Amino acid sequence: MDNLDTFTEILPFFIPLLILQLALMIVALVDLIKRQRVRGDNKVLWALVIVLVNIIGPVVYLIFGREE
Amino acid sequence: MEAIKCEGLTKRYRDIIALDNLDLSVEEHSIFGFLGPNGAGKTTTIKLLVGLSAPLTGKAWVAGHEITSGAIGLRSKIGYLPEVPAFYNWMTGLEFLSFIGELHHLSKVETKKRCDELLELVELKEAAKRRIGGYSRGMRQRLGIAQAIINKPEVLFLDEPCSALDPIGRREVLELIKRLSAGATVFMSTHILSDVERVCDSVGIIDRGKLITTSSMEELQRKYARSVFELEFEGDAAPLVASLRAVPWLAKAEQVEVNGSLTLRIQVRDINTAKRELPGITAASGLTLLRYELTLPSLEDIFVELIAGGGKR
Amino acid sequence: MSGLGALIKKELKEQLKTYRFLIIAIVLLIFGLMTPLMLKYLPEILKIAGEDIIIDIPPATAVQALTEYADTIAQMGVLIVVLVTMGAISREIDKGTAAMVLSKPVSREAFILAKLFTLSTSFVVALVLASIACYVYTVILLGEADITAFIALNGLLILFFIVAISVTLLLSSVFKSQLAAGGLALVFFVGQAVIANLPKIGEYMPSGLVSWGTGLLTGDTASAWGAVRMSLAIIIACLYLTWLRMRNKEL
Repeated sequence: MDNLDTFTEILPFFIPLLILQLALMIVALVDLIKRQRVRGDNKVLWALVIVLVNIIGPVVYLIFGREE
Repeated sequence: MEAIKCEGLTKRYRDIIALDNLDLSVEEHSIFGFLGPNGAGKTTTIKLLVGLSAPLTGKAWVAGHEITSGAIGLRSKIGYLPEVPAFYNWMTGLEFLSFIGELHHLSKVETKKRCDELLELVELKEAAKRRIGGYSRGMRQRLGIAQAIINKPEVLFLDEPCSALDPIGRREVLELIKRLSAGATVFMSTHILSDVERVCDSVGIIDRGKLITTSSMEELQRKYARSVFELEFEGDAAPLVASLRAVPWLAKAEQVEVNGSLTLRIQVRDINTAKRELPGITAASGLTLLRYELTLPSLEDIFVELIAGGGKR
Repeated sequence: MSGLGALIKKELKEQLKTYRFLIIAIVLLIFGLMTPLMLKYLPEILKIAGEDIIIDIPPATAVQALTEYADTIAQMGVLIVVLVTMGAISREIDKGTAAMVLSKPVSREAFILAKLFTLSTSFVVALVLASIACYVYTVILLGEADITAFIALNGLLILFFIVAISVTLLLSSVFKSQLAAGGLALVFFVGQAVIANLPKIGEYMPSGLVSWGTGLLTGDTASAWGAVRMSLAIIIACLYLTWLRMRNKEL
């Protein structure tokens, strides 16, 4: 049970970090869903990039993927 | 007084001479139509006149100020609509207009008042709070016109103002331009001749960077008034065209479709002789005549002739 | 400097509406939090993950955490600077918005300075947030650290970021392609980091700002005014060159 204790002790400190990463991901995903056209015209690919590539994925989408 | 004056404006892009020694002057409170085919140098001229580009040689004055890249004061006296107006797509129409108002140093109250007036005028009131990214081409063009006149400019430069508009929108914009000329000089470039005929007081025709002619509309029509006879027949008028080729006063004879019926248009060099002789020749051809009319040349006729003449170098 | 106020307002709004500010703030915050966390808990995380190797490293210290924070933020910060700045001027020229704005009573100096000012402001705000987060975590997890030295370190980091913004802004006025501008900006920063390791000229590189800052944490008294002067010189030179480039730019 030693591991579980450490886990519960550590977890609260990681929550803000997780929230930030999640926020970035959600902002990018919401923008992707609302947008009619994206660069490269492949929304599914962008969705995968945003969800799978931690931090960098949403950032790259928000800078390069959004196109009017 | 002249609102716009150019002396020997020349512009070169690498090896291409975009503008060759342009001399031009435009009277105050007139609407000047700058005509020419695509690539003739119309946009180049406008960019030089609004100070976005610098000439290789030559000088220009707008509203009494000489144009230099640093002449920032002058810019509050002019309005400019680019050929394809560009906006920040994340802004709403209202935000963009307010931003342009601020750039012109209008007061907060004044900016708000002008924005309301103009959004009403260009019929974007309902779309005012929507993002420009979602606007149609016509809406963008109308927003472009609104931003060009927000400062009540003395001289207004419009680069192809009607190009993205449907026929109704085009008529409205032309009427707007006509109204603006009460307080401003309008310099508009276009390749649409009927627009010029409808609103302009004077025209300049440019081709391959060279100004071919400038004059008032009436003068132009008079000067190049090769009157045109329009004849309509039952059946093909080809035999008549063949026999007309032999007469010395003929400039051009061709059959064209006008409103679905075949019409023979005859341009002549000597109007009086033609008036005397044409009926006889027509009668001799044995064709059945439906209509016989003497008309003034359209700007299109003049334009085609001038460009064709200037092009043969 | 005609039009500066209106342009700054527009740039600030643009940073918010196009998520630029959000990106800068969240990324810096993430790394601010992550550094002390990882230092403290990495061994334990590995244990939970079931790794049976016995890890025998001395427990991490607060100074270590703040030093590592500075190095990570400097690297990630430059990367984010490059990403959000590499198209700042070229995109406006390309799309035609520059022609639209600069045909109004606006000076080209104001156009450039508004961009430098707002980007710098975004990074200042984001760095303040990130440094507070990092300091709080460090104190909670690893113990006290010298706060004055840490504030000075962050001041030096800001200067480092402004160098990055100026360099990238210049490149974005020169190259039509955003990727070319971004790539060259990164080359510049990798290059100066390599040179920073060389004797003599090394101490004049902008990276010297970061090493001076981290040195302060350990009580190292060696200052790097050479790097500060060089950084200011680079900023001024880049602004001047950007202005030269824009002054006669055909729009």
